[in-house]
Amino acid sequence: MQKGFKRTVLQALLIILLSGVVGILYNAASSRGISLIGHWAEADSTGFLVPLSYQEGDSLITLAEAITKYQSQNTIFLDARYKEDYELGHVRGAINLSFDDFYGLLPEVEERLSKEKEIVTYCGEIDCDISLFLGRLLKEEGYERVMVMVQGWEGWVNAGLPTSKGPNP
Amino acid sequence: MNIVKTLLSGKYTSMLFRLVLGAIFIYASIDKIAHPADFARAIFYYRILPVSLVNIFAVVLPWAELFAGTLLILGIFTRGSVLLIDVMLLVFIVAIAYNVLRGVDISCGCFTVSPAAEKHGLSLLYRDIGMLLMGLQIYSFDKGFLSLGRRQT
Repeated sequence: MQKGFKRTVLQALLIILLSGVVGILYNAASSRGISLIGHWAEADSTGFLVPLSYQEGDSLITLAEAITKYQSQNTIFLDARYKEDYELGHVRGAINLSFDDFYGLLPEVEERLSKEKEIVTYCGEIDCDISLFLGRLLKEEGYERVMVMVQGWEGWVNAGLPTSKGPNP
Repeated sequence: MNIVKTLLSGKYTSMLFRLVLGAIFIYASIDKIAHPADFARAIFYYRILPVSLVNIFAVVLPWAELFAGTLLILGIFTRGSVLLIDVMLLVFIVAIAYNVLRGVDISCGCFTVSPAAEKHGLSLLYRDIGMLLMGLQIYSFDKGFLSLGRRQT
């Protein structure tokens, strides 16, 4: 009985081994292949693991790229979430431009924006999409240099980056 | 009572279950092999595995389903493949149940209180439990009827 079970486990392990070898080889050869180590936390601006609502034309940047832009102090950060969420905490210096009230808020926010400057939008976490939508609306308004920080507020906080609370940037 | 017992432990039942379960696993693997990125996203949405392991699972798991399903139908390494299938099903069941309980909608990975999402999770759960029962029957009673592999006792 015990010997039989050992053999059964051995068979199962062999199947797993075979699957591993074939799976990895197939993945390497396939045009739809993915990187073996996922970059979920650090979504890849060139690659595949992007938000579900991604469309061609959206410019995505990783958290690392966003940090570089933030430190250059030459980039405007826009928070696409509701005012309530913004007030609970946001990227320090970021301006609130809720996607839900885009046209209502734009006239007021517009004077602090610049079509020459780079703009980074973000929303709640990696699978929120209003930062993408906000980016598209801004592009329609002529802000060509809009990028989306895919990791969002959650990624920013988890990385221990500067934040502030309340209604002001 | 005897008839039920005979049916439940019979070689025809095992053979039928082998074909059905094997076919389901082969069918389920094809789309995942063709679209690894989508499958990786689905695994990610379960929010259980560490993110660094998500992709390797998405690459290897569908092939394990394909091979185990094929071997199960052919009757080669029957016990090994059904053991692997049972373990996979058990993992799926635990993962789905865990997410139903904590209110994660596994179709989007988002937290939800939507009854539809819970219903969806529960129907997946029942389906997998049904398959697990088939798998356990095969594991316990398969006599190698219509198998290419060596008969094991």
